[in-house]
Amino acid sequence: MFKLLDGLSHGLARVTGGAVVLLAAALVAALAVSIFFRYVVGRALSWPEEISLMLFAWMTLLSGSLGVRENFHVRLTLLTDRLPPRAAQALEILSTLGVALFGLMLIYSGADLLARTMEHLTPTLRLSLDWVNWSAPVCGALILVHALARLAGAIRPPRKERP
Amino acid sequence: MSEAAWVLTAGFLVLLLLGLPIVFALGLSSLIALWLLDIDLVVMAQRIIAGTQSFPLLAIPGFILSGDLMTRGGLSTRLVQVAEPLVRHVRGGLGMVSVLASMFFACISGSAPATTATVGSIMIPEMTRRGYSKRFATALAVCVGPIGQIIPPSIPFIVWGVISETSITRLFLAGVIPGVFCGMGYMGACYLSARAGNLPTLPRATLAELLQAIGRGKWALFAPVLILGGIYGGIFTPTEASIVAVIYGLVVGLFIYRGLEARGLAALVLKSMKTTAIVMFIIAVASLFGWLLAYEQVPDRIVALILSLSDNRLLILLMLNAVLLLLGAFMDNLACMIILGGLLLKLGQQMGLDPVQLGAIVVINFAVGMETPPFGYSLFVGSAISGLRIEEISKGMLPFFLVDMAMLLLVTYVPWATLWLGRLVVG
Repeated sequence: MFKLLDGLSHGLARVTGGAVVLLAAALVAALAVSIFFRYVVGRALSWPEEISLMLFAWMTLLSGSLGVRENFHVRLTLLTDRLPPRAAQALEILSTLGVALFGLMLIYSGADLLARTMEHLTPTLRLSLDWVNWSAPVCGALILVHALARLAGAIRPPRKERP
Repeated sequence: MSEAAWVLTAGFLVLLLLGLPIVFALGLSSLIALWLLDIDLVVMAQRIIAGTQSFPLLAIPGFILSGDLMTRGGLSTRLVQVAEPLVRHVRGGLGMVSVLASMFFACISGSAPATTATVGSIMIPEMTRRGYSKRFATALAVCVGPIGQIIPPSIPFIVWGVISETSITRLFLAGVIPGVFCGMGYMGACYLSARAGNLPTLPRATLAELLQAIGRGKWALFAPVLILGGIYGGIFTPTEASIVAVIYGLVVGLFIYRGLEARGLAALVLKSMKTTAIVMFIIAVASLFGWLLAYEQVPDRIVALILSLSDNRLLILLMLNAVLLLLGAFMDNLACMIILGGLLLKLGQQMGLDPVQLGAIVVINFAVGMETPPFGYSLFVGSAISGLRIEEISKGMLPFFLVDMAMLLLVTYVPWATLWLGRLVVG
């Protein structure tokens, strides 16, 4: 069970990482084109701003989900550092459950949002808002998988080596 | 207060203390509040996405990426090398080199830990080799970190600009005088410490040496001219300037200084984007949290409470500084800023404080929080580079901390220090 979940989480994290790099490159490219047109060609384009904000939503939500697997989100460890290992582990499981719950609710909430904004279009490019709004349920699903993999890892009997 | 308001304040704090990452403590307390208030759950996804839809915020990934590109590309090393021949012959000169180098580096980077990492990794070994104590060298490298986010460009100022709907250019300019004041103060502290400790002085650099350093560093020195000149000249918006900085850093790093390799670029971008994610994911989720706080009028209630305690402006400002410093010492400073933004703005409005000056008070207090124990990123970085324990480094920080306090008094009680340059340049 742990192996399966961890494999899934690992694979998804790799794909997410690749996607984030591509999104960042596209973002820089879109804004560079906009700057070039504004200052060199002398024409202000309006689509780069719209596209770059769409990319930004995806970039933020995707890279944010990576933080669950890699544990890079900032937390206060003032109290938890002083607890006996057993209690600390119990708390860790509890808080990972909380993270999983957040992911689950984001899937629900995002699906609901998608259902309601299906026909809405962006102002300049007339793209469906779905293009942005899918980022929420996808982020929720990624968070859920990474959190479940962590849970499975935490519940397993303790390994000898710890990273 | 309503149940939901308690969940958003006390409940949030409990989740935080239980060790939940800040972003999920924000998210879960918001979820409970949504449920208690019987608000449609769709608001969650809606607000989280809306939190990212701000063009000025795009400057955050921009400046984080450009800072990483310039550091890896070799621009920051050249900046330090330019600082050295300028001041090394003065008593305490190598300490001053650290300060000056951090001020140069601050003009291309907006992050305190990055400044400590860059300056510290070069200057801590150099200073200890020349007879300075490791404690002094590390404490200095830790303390110069915050200068990186006080002197523009600065990521916290961008975030504050977005929260408070204030001009980011004005906010950037508000950081210049306090940042330079702080740098000068640190240099004075280096001089006095060197006199007391009788530290060695290096021979004065020859003109040829200086010119050579400038010649090698000219591409690095031009970066702040391009970025900051572009913003203040009204040519670029901060977001555009950050993208120009990315491209400049890429070109110089790949083709001129050659610190970058095309092969390692993807990994570097991913690392920068993860750094961005720490900030941006909190901003996104905090936009839900902040919406609920405002819905429950929590900021208004707390401000009313504060103002009912005292109506002495000087005293309230002093308390504000104390609270911000303390928070900054324990919490991630951007997260604090985002969570408390609404409250601080309300308080500032009630007190008739200029939003630019208020922003400077907030950002600079939290910047100092980056160097103070127990939770200062710069401190962690300094400790990682030198191998010294946090307690040991903290002991060496006292003279610099006094300068910080003087800077905070200046920012809090002399509006001129933060507003004058903005009026001069922007009008």
